[in-house]
Amino acid sequence: MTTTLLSAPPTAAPASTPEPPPAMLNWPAIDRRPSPSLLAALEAGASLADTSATLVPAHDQMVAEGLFHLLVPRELGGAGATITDWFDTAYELAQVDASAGWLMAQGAAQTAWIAVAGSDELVAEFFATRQTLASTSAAVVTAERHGDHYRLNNARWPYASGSPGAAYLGGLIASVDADGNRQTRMAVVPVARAIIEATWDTLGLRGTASHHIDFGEQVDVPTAFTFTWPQLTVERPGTLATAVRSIGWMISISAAATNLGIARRSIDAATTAATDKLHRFDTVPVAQQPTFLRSVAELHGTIHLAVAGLRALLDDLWNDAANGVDPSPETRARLRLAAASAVMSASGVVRTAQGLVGADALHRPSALERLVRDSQMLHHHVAVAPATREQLANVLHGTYQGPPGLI
Amino acid sequence: MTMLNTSASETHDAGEHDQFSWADRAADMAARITTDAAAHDRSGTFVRSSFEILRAEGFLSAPVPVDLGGGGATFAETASILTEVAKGCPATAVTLSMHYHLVATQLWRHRHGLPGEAVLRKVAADHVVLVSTGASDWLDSSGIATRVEGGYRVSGRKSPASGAPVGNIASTSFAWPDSPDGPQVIHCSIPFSGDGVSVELTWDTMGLRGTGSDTIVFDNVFVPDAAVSLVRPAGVWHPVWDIVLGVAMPTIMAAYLGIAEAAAAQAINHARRNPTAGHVHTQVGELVNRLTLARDVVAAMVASVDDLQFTPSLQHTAEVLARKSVAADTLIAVVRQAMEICGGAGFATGGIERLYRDVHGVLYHPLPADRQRLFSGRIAVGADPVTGS
Repeated sequence: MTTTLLSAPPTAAPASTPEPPPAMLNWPAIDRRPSPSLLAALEAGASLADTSATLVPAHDQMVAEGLFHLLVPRELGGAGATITDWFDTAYELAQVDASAGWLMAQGAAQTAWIAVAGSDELVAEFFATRQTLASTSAAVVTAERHGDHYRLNNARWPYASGSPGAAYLGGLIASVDADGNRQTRMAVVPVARAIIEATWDTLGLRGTASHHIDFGEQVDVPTAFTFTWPQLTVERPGTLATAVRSIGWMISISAAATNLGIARRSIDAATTAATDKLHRFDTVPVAQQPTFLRSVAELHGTIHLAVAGLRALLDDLWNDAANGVDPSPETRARLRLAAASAVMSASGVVRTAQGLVGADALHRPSALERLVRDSQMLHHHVAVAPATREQLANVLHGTYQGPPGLI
Repeated sequence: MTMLNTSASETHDAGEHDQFSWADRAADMAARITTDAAAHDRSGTFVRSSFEILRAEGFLSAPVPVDLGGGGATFAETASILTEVAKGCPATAVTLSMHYHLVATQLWRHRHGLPGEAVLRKVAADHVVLVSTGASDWLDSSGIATRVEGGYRVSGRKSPASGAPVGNIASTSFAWPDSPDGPQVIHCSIPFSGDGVSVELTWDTMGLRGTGSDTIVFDNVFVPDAAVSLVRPAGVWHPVWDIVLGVAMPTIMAAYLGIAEAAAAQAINHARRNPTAGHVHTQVGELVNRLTLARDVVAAMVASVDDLQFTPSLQHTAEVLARKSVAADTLIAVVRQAMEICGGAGFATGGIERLYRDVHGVLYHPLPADRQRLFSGRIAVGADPVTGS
């Protein structure tokens, strides 16, 4: 049986002069930085989300404060922030709760994709209120074009981070166009038209609730509710569009911002634990011992270097985009490699911090115990996988054969 | 099956089992307990059912010589039992290693003309579980002992104490600050059934959640002089540690080797089932390299025990602890590499994910890496390992 996923009637203004729908005018302003009350709520809920493998409890507050709309241009009701702002916010959130950092980084990226590449119909519906998309490219579902819609077969994907809190779900589809060329797109449906299977039960990042999503065995999605992906077809030109047209680097930066946040927190957690920790055969607390101090100093330096380096690269990319300069494949490859290096450095920092504290770090009440598990997830993310790095090296050598948007 | 090398000079007790049969039996047992292992990990409860099997099938007394009523396993065979059991249930293996290293220490004493026979006979006859509190005690110990008529009164909390939920005898120590000879430490054995002894369920950790490494509470417990095996000065190195560490570390590391072996096997099977780009084969190659190093280092540790004929010394202890640190880092790297090979499947609960959490326990057995480097470095330059002077 074929299911047609209908959307609300289009209400958007013409694409050439995007005017915010009336509802947007009532949105609260976005401060670009998480509020103290949000940070407190994230801190308070992190353990529960981890224990139960359920969505970060303060997810809706993150949405309400506009963090998922950080990159969205102001004319669509967003904050119009830069990609460095986006990185900084994810980094800050991850220091409080890694799952929240990942959700925000990826959620804001996905919302930006709709702002850049969504049809007028999708934009009008999606930005009518402050809501989120949880999309996944962890599988590719085959689809055929039939007039004004795509017919998807066995439309099921894993790893849709934030799906229980999202208003829309998205999955990667592949079809062949009239010229016989393979094309990949992101298909978006209202959450009510899909099934979320609670399959996420993992080592870490358990609060991301990155479950499987299922649209059905055969389902029609209006073409207007799809957009090309990972190479976005720009519907609304501008700095954001120029910067994020090829989306691959955003996923790498999401992983880096989150893992660097975890690592930064692990240094604080280790220092706090060591402040009062006194081995029976020592006369001064661990935190005052030369071995600890030397190690912690090195960890601080590692994190600071990685954060500063990525921020500089993001600033450069954004400034170029503002001047209408597309980031070249080599620029994007180098950014992704820098992000991968940051992820791995951050994992090393967390492991060292854990070792500095000793056995206390293994106990569940210890902040480090969860940080270790969360960090390990990102250390093995596809963004830093050997196969990805191999592709990126091919880009630098001019021998890359894959889809440009993935870089 | 992975067999550990044995020393050429190793002597075998004339047991009813040859070297391979102990490992085979352990592998068979591991296959039977693996399902329960996941459940105990989930609930954080002690692997009680595994210990019932260990008790019923003679594993608890495997290292005890045949002429004392035990199974007659050599030290290398004992290590191979732990490696095999860990493949099915790491928590069972690590807990068993705590019991085994105490048995092995008594056996070393017995073979060197020191008292130990009584404990060994009791392990063989009654299948008692010995529980160590050494991890939290070290040179100064903890708790407090007070001299009384015919013995001592002791109080304190000892954690972690792996196997505490089924423990029969605690091998422990207490600080005795008011000794007429200055601060001392008494080493003693205390039955769990004694007045004032209780167990608090405090173990809630990232990995090895089924070890029952809870807290033993001693509340004004009477320890007769006959139960005190050693009184030594507090805070300074004592040769007893050269015996204990020389025996304990190879025993414990044999269990952790099994965790890495299990993770490597899963990863290689995953790579076989999912043929893909060449980089996975390179990753498997790195895994094999690391696993080979881990096997070699643990085998060297086991061989250094020379089937409990080794001569304890500071130099020997420094080498054992150095190998422990190298092995620990390598074993964790093996499991991490295995996780990477398995991709997303490696993160899901129940497989390598659990092994990853479990293997991290290896970091916290004496000595933690930074302590070990300081310790071995001091010995290398001829300084006191504790004071550095």
